[in-house]
This record gives sequence, structure tokens and C-alpha cells, in this order.
Amino acid sequence: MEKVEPRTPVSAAPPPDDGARDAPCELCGLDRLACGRAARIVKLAGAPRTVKRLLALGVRPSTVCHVVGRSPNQGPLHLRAGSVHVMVRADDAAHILVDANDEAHDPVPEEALP
Amino acid sequence: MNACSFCGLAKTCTLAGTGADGAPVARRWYLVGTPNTGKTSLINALAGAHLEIGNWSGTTIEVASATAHLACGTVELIDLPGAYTLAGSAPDEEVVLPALDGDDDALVVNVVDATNLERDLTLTAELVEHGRPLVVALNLADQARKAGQEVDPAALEAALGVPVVEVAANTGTGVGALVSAAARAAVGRADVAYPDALERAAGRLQAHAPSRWHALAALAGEWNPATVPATAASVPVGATVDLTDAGAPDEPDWADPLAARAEQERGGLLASGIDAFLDVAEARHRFAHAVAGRATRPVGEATASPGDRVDRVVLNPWLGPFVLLAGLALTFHLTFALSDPWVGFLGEVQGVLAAWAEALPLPALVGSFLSGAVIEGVGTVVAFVPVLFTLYALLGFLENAGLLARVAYLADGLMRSLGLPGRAVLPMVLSLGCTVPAVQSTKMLEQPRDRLRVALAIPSIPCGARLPVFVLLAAAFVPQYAGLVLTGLYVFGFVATLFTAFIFRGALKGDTATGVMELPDYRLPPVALVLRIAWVRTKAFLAGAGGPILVVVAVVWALLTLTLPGGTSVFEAVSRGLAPIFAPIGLDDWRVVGALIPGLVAKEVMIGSMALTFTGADAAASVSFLGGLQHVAASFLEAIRNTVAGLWGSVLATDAPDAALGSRLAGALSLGSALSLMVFSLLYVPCVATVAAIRKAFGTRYAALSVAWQLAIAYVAALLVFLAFG
Repeated sequence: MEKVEPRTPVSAAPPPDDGARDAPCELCGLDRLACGRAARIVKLAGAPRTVKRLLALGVRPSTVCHVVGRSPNQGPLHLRAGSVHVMVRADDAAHILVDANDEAHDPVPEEALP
Repeated sequence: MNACSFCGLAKTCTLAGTGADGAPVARRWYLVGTPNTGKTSLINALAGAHLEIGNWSGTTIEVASATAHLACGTVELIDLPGAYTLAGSAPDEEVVLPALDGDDDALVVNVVDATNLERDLTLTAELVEHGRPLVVALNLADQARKAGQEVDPAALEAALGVPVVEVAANTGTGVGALVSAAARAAVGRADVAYPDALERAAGRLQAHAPSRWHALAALAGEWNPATVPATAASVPVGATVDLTDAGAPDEPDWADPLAARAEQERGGLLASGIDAFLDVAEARHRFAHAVAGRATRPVGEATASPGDRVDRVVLNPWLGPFVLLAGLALTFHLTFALSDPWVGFLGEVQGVLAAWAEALPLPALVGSFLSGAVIEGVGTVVAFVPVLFTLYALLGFLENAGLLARVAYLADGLMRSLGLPGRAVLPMVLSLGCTVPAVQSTKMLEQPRDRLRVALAIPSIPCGARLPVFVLLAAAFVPQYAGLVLTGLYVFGFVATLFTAFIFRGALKGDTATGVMELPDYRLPPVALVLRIAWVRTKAFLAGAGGPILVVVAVVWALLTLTLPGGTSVFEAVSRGLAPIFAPIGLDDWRVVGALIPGLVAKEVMIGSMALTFTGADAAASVSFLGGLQHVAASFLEAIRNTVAGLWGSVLATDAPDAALGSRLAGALSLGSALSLMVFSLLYVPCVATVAAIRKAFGTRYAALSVAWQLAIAYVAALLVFLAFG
């Protein structure tokens, strides 16, 4: 079935529903986050197919995403969003903008880190 | 009326045909769920041995189906590919929506993974909005309990307005209750709180759309109603289901007006700052989050997921590459170590049958046809059963256990440099053993373009059948450098593979796989189901590829057997006719050129052909009936012994080369010609079974392209080698 590719989302998600945050927002691509770090997703961009898959897997604006690991040979990132573990290529991860100052409240469990 | 074998009910059973209240009940049940939720296990529990696998009509997407014979009627079960959303963009996902749209009698069994409840409930919300009668099968609740979460089916039922039944698909527990509940299947409700403006726009569109889901999807730009395909009413091959009467028209009346209105509404929403694409997804996730929160409660003490601990080793950046190499080597080794002894056993059976056929009181030509064409042809086809069955079982295990996703993760960086997804590494490794299962394994790649590229590239990787040819020629011409030459041939094969993948990267149209993939939890798949599906898939291959293989074997038999009026064999005449074409690459001896023809059946047959033409035929051994039976029995026991022994041995071992043939060849060919023959044998069409496998998977056009491409690169490479060394 031919599908109409949705346009690249241009807007950020609704503001987080857990209260206003005073810390200055420092947006960066998720690929720049070190292993073991977590941050709240602010905006998804990139190829529509990729965005659609990310949304379906629960990697969406306002959720906290953990960088669990990185594959060798400049391979993909291993992320965890909620209970779902996801592989995302680094250049796709670069289009997932996160607030680097908004460190997650539920950091990666120690045993989940490589 | 007998009691239903599933629900135990008799006259009140309402699952097929007419319900207790006289209302008609769906006869086709579609199992829908995210990947790895246990749909296939559930269909197996429902229908057992009746499971069939075929391609969804007009696609290469594999769909399992089965017929469940209830005492009160027959129900068709269709296991749709795993999908995260009804508007999925992966080819597998794309068959789900047309299947549901195209069947007004559909009943949807939504298999929900209790360990990933929130994620799966977003798909459930879509299914409710889609509007087909729905029943939810809550699977893996025991796993969720172990992880410290108790899921309450009653709470889910209250929130969704559809029956929710806890099942254990692997063991069949709860299947009877699910069947009973299916009689209460309902359209349900999902109180998804969309933003007001979006809700109003969807409401206006819904009057022109078949369901709320269609209105929302059109609004979000996820789906274009003007492109409702003819394949909306499709029939999976191998299934007895007939959807042709239930299908949607090619382009329904509502399609164009809905598309136009959706475009208009979307523009209005964008102008007011609402991104329907994101907001629809976000609202469904909030709904799923809320429902999951209401339906779950912590129970016991949560145990840490063992998968996390395993991933610490398997996905470690330093250990990972070694784990990947070890895993690939083990998969390769097991595939061939477990199957090779049985291929050998089948070969022995074939030999005995051929000898019996030769001994029958029949005219010589008929006896020869029976043994050389019929038995040889069937034997060639059947010889793939052990290797394909083993491969499918291993792939099924790797996929269902969550290991294949880890292979893809670890190999993605390397394969990406070739423009291929990480999973492509597995067919490439398997093709070192046999190209046929390697082509079959390309089905695990997400995008058809990637499948085709890999299938076109891997015939250049030297398979095990080519090794005896290389060993014979290397031992005869460069005995002191045989190891170096063999290594060089493998490197040459891989270079040709990469070159082919590179060439077809630009030449083939289509999407590449998205760089996003779930890493599912580790699970031990049910062995019986994995074996059953492996057998069903093997049968499907034999049914599709067996015919062409038989035809080619019969043609080769005719060439080798029939003679022209002058007494010259057809084989010799054809070989002499082809020899001038091969003269520029140093192969002007008709006996060598002729060996390339039976080499199409299987590469190792080249040796037998050259032995026949260079050193003469051995007298055929006659086998008595009793002697044949004893030989088969002894071969059977040897196959068992070799299967056990092979687990610790080499799978690429080959017999010592035929010294007499080697010396004859050394006298007939120059070094340059021998190297040219090795390179040509390395790169030209691996065997007819590979071509048949490509044809079955991608069609005649691409099978012809593969043959033409392999012949072309083999000729050019052999020419370059002959010019360099000749």
C-alpha cells in the first residue's frame, strides 16, 4: 500500500506535565550523550519513517531516554525508553533532540550498563 | 453435535457460523500484535498441525495461516506480521491494514505482551478505533509477574470494552477461554483524549471515513485514503481462506473526498500550530500509559531482568565483536554439521535407488532416465531438506530468542559501510556453506531492496560445493601454494560480493531499512513450534523450487546420455560448440567447458564430469535388493554417528583430490587456464537450486538478472586472470 509520507514534524511535544523546569535548556542530539547518561526528549526530527518507528516504540517527546551502550565500528546506539530497548543508528539519534540539562529522574540501572 | 475441542461447549458454541443468539460470527480471525508477542505460538496452540506458511498475495511477505476445526464449524486463523502500528511503514507491517480493511467478516485477536503492556496498548487503541470486532489475548502475564507486575485482565476489559483473556500461548493455557471469549468480541471503545481542535477535525472527517482510525490516520498524514490498493482483498498463498469476496473495491467512493478533506483539515491544524502526526501518537501513548497504569499493580519482589546482565556481555563494545564472530561461527557450524551427515545419507539412498532402477528389466534408455533424471533430480531437491530444515530451525530460534536483533546491532556498523543492514551479515556467512539457505535467509531483512541486493551478491561467496573443485585444481597445478591459492579465491569471492552489492546499491529502487529496531527481551522459544515452522517453511521451498531443479537435471541427463546420428554424444557436441566462447579465457578444451554444464546442477558434479571425459567411466556397481537395504541401514547409522561427531569437527572438510584426474588435467591445461577455470567456477552461477531459490523469492526477472550478472563477472574476472597468468 502506498503511503503518504508524513511531513517532518516541526513542533516540539507538549510541555512536560511534571512541572516547569528552571534550568536553561541545552538542546543536543542524543548521539552526543555519553553511555550511561539519560535525558528527556524534546523533539524528534529526521526521516518520517524513522520518526514513525520511534514513536511506535515509545521513543517520543517528553519521555526520558537512556543511552545504554554503543555498538562497535561506529555502529548504532542502544537506548532504553521506558521498558523498551531500542537500537538507533547514530545519525538517526542525532535528530533526536534532548535537553542535556534535564537529567532523567530514573537513571539507567547499574546492571543495565555495559 | 460433538463438544468443541477448544472451549468444551457444544450447542452453545458460537465461534463459527451462528451465535447462541442467532447472530452471525466471524469465520476469519486475524491475529494482530507487535513483533515477538507470541502470535505464532497462539495460532499453533489453536490449530496445531494445520499450520501453513505462504506469501501474502502480491508480496514476498510471509504469513502463517491455519484452519481450526471446531465442532461447531471451521475458523480460518491468519497470523499477520508483527506491527507496531496499523499505519506501519515497514513492508511486513503494510499488509496488516489492507487485510483488516478488506474483510468485513474479520475478527481481530489482538495478542498483547503483558511485559510491554504500555507499548502494546497503543496498537490496541488503534485497533479499537479501527472498528473491527476485537478480543484481546493477554500473553506472557507470567513473565510480567516475575518482573513484579500483575496485569488485571478485568481492568483492561473495563477500559477497552472488549473481552480480555489471559493466555500462555507457548503452553496453550487459556486458549479455550479465549475461544469462548471470541464469541463476545466487540468493537470496543478507546477514550483517547486528543487535543480539542484535532478531535473536532477528526469528528468532521469521520462522517466520510469508514472508521475513526481512518479519519485520524488521514488527518495525521500517516495514510492516504486515495491510495487504497487493490490488494486490500488478498489471499495468502497456502491458506484456505478466500478473501476475494470480502475485499474492498480498488478505490472506494469515500477515498478521494476523504483525502481532500483531510488535506484541508491538516492545513488548518498546522496553521494553528497543531502537528496532527505527533499529537495523535502522543494522545494514544497517554491513553496507553493511563490504561496500563490502571490495569497493573506491583506484585512480589521484582527480579532484575537476566537479559540486562546478558546484554552487558553480548553488547559490550569490546567483547561484542568477539561474541558476534563466535555466534556467527556457531550458527554456520551447526547449520552444516547437523545437516551434512543427512545430506550424505540421502545421497547414499539415492545411489541405491539408482542402482535398483538400472537393474530393472527395462530398456536401457528408460532405466537411465529413471536413475539419471528422475532419481537424480528428486535426490538433488531432497538433498536440501536437511540443510534448509536445520537453517530454518536455527533462524527461528535466533529470531524468537531475541538473538538475531543483537546480531543486527553488533554488525550494523560494519554492514552499514556497504549500505546494508546489520542482519545481512548472516546470509553472507551462511553462503560459505551453501548459497540456497543463504538466499532463503534474506527473508529476515526488513526491506525488499536489501533482500534482493544480498541475494544477488552472495552467489559470489564460495560455497562448500565449490571447495572440492578448487582443491582438485590447486593440488594439480600449484601443490606448493595450494593454501595460498585457496585463500586468494575466498578473498576474490568476497571482493566480488562487495562489488556486486555496491553496483546494485544504486541500480535497485526502494527503501533501505530504517535505522531503528527494537531489541526484544531474551526468551526461550518453544522448540516444538520452531521445528514445526522450520518444516512448514522447508516444504514451501520444495514446492516452489523443486520443479525448476527437476527440469534442469533432466536436461543435463539428456545432454549426457543422448547421442547424435554420427555416434557423438549431445554433450560432446554442445561442449565443442561452446568451446570457442571460452577460448579467450583459456578454456578451449571441450571436456573442461562441458564440465561447466553439469556444474549447474551442483559444483562438485564438475569433478565427476571431468573424470568421465578425461579418465573414462567407472563400471556401475550393481546392488542387490537386500544389499541395498543393508547399505541404506548402515548409512543411516553412519549419519547418526557423523551428526554427533560433526558437532566437534570441521564442516568444510573435503575428500582427498583424485590424483589420476589431477595429473590428466595438469597435462591438458596450462597454469593460466587452470587459474581461469578456478575463478570462473568461483563466480559463475552457483547451482540451479540457487537460481530456483532466487526465482521463488524475487521472481523470474531477478533470477535471470542473477544468472546474467554471475556469468558476466565470472567471464571478465577469468579473462583478467588468464591474461595475467596465461
